[in-house]
Amino acid sequence: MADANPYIEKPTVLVVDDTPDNLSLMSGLLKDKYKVKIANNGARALKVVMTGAPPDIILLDIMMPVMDGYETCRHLKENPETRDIPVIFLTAKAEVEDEMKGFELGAVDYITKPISPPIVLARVHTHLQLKRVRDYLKDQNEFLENEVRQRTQEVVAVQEVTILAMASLAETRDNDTGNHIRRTQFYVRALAEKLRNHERFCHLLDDDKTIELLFKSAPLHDIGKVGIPDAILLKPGRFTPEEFEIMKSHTTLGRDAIRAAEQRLGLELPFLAYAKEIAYTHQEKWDGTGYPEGLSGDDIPISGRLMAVADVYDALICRRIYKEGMPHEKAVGIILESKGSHFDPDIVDAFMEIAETFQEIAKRFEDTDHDLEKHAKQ
Amino acid sequence: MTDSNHEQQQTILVVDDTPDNLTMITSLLKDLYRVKIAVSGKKALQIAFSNEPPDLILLDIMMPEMDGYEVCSQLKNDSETRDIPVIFLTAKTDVEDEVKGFDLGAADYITKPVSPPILLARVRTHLRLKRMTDYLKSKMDQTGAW
Repeated sequence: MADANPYIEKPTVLVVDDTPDNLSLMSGLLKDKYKVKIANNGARALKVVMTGAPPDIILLDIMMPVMDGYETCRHLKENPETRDIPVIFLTAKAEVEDEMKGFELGAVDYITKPISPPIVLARVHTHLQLKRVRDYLKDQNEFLENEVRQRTQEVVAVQEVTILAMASLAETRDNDTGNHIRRTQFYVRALAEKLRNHERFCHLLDDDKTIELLFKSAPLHDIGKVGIPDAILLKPGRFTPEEFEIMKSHTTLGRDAIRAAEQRLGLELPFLAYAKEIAYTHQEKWDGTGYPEGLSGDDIPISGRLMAVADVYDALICRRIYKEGMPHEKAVGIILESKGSHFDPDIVDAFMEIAETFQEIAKRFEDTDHDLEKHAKQ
Repeated sequence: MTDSNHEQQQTILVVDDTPDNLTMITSLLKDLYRVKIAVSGKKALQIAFSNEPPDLILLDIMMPEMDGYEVCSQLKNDSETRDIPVIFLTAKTDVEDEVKGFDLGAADYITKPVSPPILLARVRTHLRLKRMTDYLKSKMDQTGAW
């Protein structure tokens, strides 16, 4: 740090003294190095400080009529805007008690009158430098904190964009519109929230972060459909047994695609662990008749069990370009019938309790005619 | 930066040929800082150039053999000790003497008899300034600029 010309502009020194001779003496001494403002009493000093750019340092006489230096200093230190301006007292007094009083009020030093020019210059220089370094470090702290906040936001944004980009790939090749992804994502979260204190699920679900990860991962449940040939994926009628076998492989393909992405990245991301689980197990059934593994009961990850209910409900109620959606009540009835066969009974109970929430979510992200037409053209 | 914690670890070297002055100043500083003392300029230089240099030096001017000016100029002419702030302790209040001290690189003056609040305020100011500039310099060394 060069002492020579550390400022782009000269720092401003405010000199406060009721004796004109003192003011002109101080001005003469300081004006080469600093911009000098003067005030001949405390009230004027406060006015100068509050209007325009505040001074960088204040040299403050103590004995003044109307408002003395102590009182002026007290006002300056009470105001958050002026608190950090260093105040040096100018005084003829040299009593220790007076000095204590000044320091207690927040002054940084004393200069005794009659003033010694080198002392004035040295003390002004010292406190300006101290203030400048402090301000710089303060700025730097704020800068670093800001930077960390920014980076964190970026990481979160990248995660979300990654998931949405991957999910939208699956969408473009499927009959589903983007709304299916939005709806199932919200259903999964609603179910998870409902079950977070349930004795069978609380060990996993009673945690905001997990629920948030499930919410973010749910859109990837059908990512594997990217690997299914169009002739099968877009076939309007029933699948032949061979076609169905190929269709079933979307679960394995989905998990493997996410796994491959992680391997290329060289690290496992927690938010993708659920995505893999959901992609791989959302077609399993409680009674073991699902695919790809034929897992049953608690062997099916909770994330996959939640997704199964959400996915089936949405498939039932949603409109297609070629069909109307099933009424909500009918879909609820079908889910209830499948309690203990297709679905985890406790999850179905939770679903029954919040069926209205499902209906609201479905309404909120309803496919409009425009959505359906737009999607059909893709 | 919490001042109290850091200042506790900072070391002040007090140089004076009068034992009473050393005792008095040490008693003022010892609760807040580590205090080392030297009764001559020569001893002061030995401590300043040791492996554990002080963070600040309070330096009497009038001493036999080697006076405060001489000690200061030797400290300021060596890159190892140049950045240690030196505050002169003096009964003199002559402007020319003050100019001479500042020209030699002193940071400030404290007039004797010493006023405790003034002593503590100036010591604190210059330790703070040194600590912050040291910090910035270390950052500068790390990054090449600041």
